[in-house]
Amino acid sequence: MPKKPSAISIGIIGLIQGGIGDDYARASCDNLGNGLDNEYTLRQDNHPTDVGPFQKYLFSGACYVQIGQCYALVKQAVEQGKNFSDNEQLRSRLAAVWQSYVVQQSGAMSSAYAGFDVPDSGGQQWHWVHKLHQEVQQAGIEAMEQLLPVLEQMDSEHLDLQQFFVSWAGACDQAYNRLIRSDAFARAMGEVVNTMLVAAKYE
Amino acid sequence: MNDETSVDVAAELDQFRERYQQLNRQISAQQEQLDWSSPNSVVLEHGAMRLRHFEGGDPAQLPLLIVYSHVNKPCVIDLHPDHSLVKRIIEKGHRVYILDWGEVSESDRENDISVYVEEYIDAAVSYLRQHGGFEAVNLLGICQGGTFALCYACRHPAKVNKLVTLVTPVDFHAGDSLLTRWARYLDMNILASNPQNIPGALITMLFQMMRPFEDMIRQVQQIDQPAAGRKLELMMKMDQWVYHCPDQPGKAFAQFVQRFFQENALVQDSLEIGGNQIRLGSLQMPVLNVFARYDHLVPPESSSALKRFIDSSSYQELEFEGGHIGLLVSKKAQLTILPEIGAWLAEPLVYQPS
Repeated sequence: MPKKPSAISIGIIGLIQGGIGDDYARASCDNLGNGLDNEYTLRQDNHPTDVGPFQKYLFSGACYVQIGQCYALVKQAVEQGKNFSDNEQLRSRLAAVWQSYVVQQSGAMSSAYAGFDVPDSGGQQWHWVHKLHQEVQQAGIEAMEQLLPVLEQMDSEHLDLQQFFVSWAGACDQAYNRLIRSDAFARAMGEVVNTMLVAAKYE
Repeated sequence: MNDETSVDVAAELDQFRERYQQLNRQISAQQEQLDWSSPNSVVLEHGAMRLRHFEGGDPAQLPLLIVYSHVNKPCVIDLHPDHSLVKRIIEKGHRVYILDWGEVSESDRENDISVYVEEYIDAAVSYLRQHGGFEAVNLLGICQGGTFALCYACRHPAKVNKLVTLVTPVDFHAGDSLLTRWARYLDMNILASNPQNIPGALITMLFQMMRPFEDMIRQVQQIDQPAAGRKLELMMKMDQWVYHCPDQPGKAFAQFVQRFFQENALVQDSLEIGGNQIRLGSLQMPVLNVFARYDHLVPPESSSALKRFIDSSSYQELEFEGGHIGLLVSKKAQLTILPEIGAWLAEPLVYQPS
């Protein structure tokens, strides 16, 4: 049976297709960091990544559009001769895109979880998932705190959208590589999978 | 926000959206299916396993049996005529057979690794020996399939004339292996005591989680400059291949994680398969070990560790300037390293297995 799209996937689809509205999409992605409970409550029927092999272009494209919207804030600040590295709104929006993308990647876990035919028992079982997402969120915030001063030192008047995007993605890539090689991440990942195995075993 | 800035960026993003829609339309129109590109037929069925014979090659040559990893579909080595390891090897005159592990079903969940090494590989080798009248066959293992091929060759050296290992993990603790890090906290006793198949979606997720931002940059580039024709065809096949990891038999998966990733038993001479000890030092046939310098799945140090166990007169290695998948699919590999493998297989044996 085809899966119903989740709020997140509707938001992302809307963002890139321009049909539903960027505000709605942004709200969905911004909510990702805070709204994990809702997301995982929905997981039985909604698998944001269980959508086929080509949807990754949609997700990546949606991130590009969001980064483009952040870039507009940077450009505006530069034109007004203002600093943007301490712009809280900008920093949190950039971190939110990181968060939404990483969560979208690991969101396949909910699909895999359903593949084990594990019931939706919630609660303690999701302790390690939340732990994992906390790690992701913290790493994103730190990465953006480091990125913006570096961008500000660059020739920001001539910084175009593609360079901005590549700089952002490069900073995310470095932060991500550190994150996934950490013992805390490996521990959380291992425990999530162990939880799946145990829950499926006793069901 | 300054109106002009807002309009400029909005216009640029609108153009980007339009390019995305264009790519989307191309993808919808193309309808590429994930399948073999070279003509082949199934010549043997054994349990879930299928032995496929590919057309072409010199009947006088020893058959080459290719053993691919169990965690992905094997057709990646023949996705497209211009990007086909199979085709490059056949062009050097070899008769190529592929061991296709087949679909994992509920009844496979208690299969341990010995089913795959001692039963499936041996069934394929036995078929080729009997039908061709050969004492031994050439064996080429890729990634996890290379690890299985090594185990098989250790156990049955007289049945293997030459062995090629491609991007094969040997020392699972050598180099910076992300998969080894992630395997550290997995409790495989849970799975071993009550085996259940591992959904392919979990394997897909693990691979997707390895370098998502590199992938994102590549995907945005694809939107910006949409591929067309054969390039698009290959891209779509690769996307489907990456997405569709097969389910894993529970017990064998648990064993592989525990014995190979966690305990590194293969290089410690403490590995047993089906009650038989596996000693890499018992390999006597000529071995060509091929690995990739920028492999994000199997660090080159993990593969090159093999040379510690084999007499230098029987061992050769080749390093590819690229990544794990690039070695199998890229244009560069098609022109350089894959024909070299074919040529090495065609060289006359200096050493004859006893």
